[in-house]
Amino acid sequence: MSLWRIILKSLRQHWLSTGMAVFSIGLGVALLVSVVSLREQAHRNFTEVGLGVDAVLGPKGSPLQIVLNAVYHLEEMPGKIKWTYYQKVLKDPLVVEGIPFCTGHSYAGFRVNAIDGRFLTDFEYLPDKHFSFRPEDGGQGRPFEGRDEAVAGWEVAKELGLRIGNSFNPVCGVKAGDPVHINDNIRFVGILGRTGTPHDRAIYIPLTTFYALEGHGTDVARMAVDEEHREISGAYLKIRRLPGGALNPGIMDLKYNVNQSPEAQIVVPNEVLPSLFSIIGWVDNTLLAIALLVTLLSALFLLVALLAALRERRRDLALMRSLGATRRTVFGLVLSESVVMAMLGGILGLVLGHAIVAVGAHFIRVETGLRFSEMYLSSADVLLLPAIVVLGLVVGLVPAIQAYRTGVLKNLVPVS
Amino acid sequence: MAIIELSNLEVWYTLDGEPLTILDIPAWQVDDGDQVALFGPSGCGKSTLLHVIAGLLTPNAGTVRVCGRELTAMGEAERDRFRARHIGYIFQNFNLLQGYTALENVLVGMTFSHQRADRGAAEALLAEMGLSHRLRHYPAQMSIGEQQRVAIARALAKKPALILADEPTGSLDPVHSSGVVASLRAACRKHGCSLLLVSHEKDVISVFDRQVPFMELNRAFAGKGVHA
Repeated sequence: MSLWRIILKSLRQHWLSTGMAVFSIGLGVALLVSVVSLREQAHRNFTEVGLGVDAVLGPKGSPLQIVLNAVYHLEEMPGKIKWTYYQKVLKDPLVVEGIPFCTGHSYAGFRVNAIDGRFLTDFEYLPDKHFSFRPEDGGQGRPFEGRDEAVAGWEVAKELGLRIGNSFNPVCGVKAGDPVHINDNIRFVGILGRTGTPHDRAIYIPLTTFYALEGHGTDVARMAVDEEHREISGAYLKIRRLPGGALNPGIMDLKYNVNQSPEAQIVVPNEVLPSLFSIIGWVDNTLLAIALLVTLLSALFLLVALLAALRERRRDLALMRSLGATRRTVFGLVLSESVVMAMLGGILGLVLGHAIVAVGAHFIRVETGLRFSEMYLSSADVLLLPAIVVLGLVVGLVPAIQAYRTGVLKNLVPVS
Repeated sequence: MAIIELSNLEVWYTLDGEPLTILDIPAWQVDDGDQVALFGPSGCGKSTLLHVIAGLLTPNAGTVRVCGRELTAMGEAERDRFRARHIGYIFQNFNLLQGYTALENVLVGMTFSHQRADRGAAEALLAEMGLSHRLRHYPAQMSIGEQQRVAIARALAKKPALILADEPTGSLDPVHSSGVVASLRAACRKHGCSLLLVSHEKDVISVFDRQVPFMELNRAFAGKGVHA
């Protein structure tokens, strides 16, 4: 019988306290794993996704609202900008390319963005990554060409079961109950390959189609042909980069000049998004603190369980010592039990934590379109096992010392 | 060759500021292969002597040699390891691990003696004790006599040179007592172990060739009345 079997046997003997301690550690670790995972994935989602867009030209209003609408297909744009002003900004030597868009429409809960066709062919949703229609990437069909054609993001097509040739009537607005453009039947001609970004959760129609939709009135219809009169929600801007790949610092001057005007503003997603985290940071930190507290409480529970088990086992330990187990051996046995219990709790917590992330990811995707993965390995996962071993060792130290001090004669035999 | 050699052995405690001598044995020895019964009333220090010989208790003075090694010169951990390898101990109240089956109790004995836990050998020892049908039974499921036989098997499992049996029949009725002692003596003979047994029961002592009255051996109690 190996020492490991003796340890497992002891854990089985005290299965109730062992189980409770393992479960409580599992709960604490699960909270820790899920909070850290969701936290890191949120940061990643809101920082990496923004990388594809150097800057957004948008109306005056909340910069965060502009980024959430333009890049994440959330919220609503706070206003419109003049096409002529967009053209003026485009002429700045720092601006390599601009892709104008109009937001404000939806279909079946997904945003319908009217956008310049170059979005589907030239736009980099992540550095050096363009949209694909290839079947091996999950795509189908082709970019839109005609007025009544649309392209669906991968997620939209999957959730709505769309096929090439299906058609839809866009809703004029993004809320339930907003009016439907019943006379505008738009046909899907393409489905984008999966990008893993919020762009998967939108439908794209030609920019000019926006102005031609029935029900927008003559004023809007005039925008299709009259550039002086035309308005857009905003535009993605690609900014000239330095040889090393960094954004040209001249963007600060461009931003300053545009922001001084009453017409529009330039918003750099990677500057704005950290402010989102400063807003929600306290929630984030509170959750993390709760998770840490639960883990600490579970460590205390482990200590109590070990001490209670030790009280019942003094005779057994004394007997083992009489059979030849040294003080160090019984010290090691109790310490190992603590580590094994902590590790079992850690493994349980790891599984539970990822299950929580899986459930959370589903709801977050439904609500926001942001993609979270239960398979994401956070820093908590990486540090978990060494940390849990240390926790087991620290918690097990007091009972192990008590076991070390267990006297054989005092606990075993009557003296005659 | 002597398996146990005691010289000027003294064990005392301080009780209410006064020294209370428990053991005072000038010289004594047990030869290799001997089966010796020490007898005396309860409370005369028999168990204390066994604890000293087993290395569970350090004497205040004198030397103790077991298997030619001086226990009194060893540190506690070394004594533990020595006991694990060379001494089998049978307690009066069996002291089996309650959460372990008969077979597991024997295997644990092997584990701490740093031997390979030989399941076959453990089963054979239990069979020798007439417990083939009790291998997977827990102590609470066995009779007192059977529990003591498991304790004997566990003591023998480590193939010790010396078995110390402390009132091994103290909790048994006379019929079971003689059976257990006979089993113990036969097993020690078969496995080549020396046996030192202490008891206050005349029936148990009577079957031994060498019977030592402990009160004569231990000067601490010589001539004193001790409660039986």
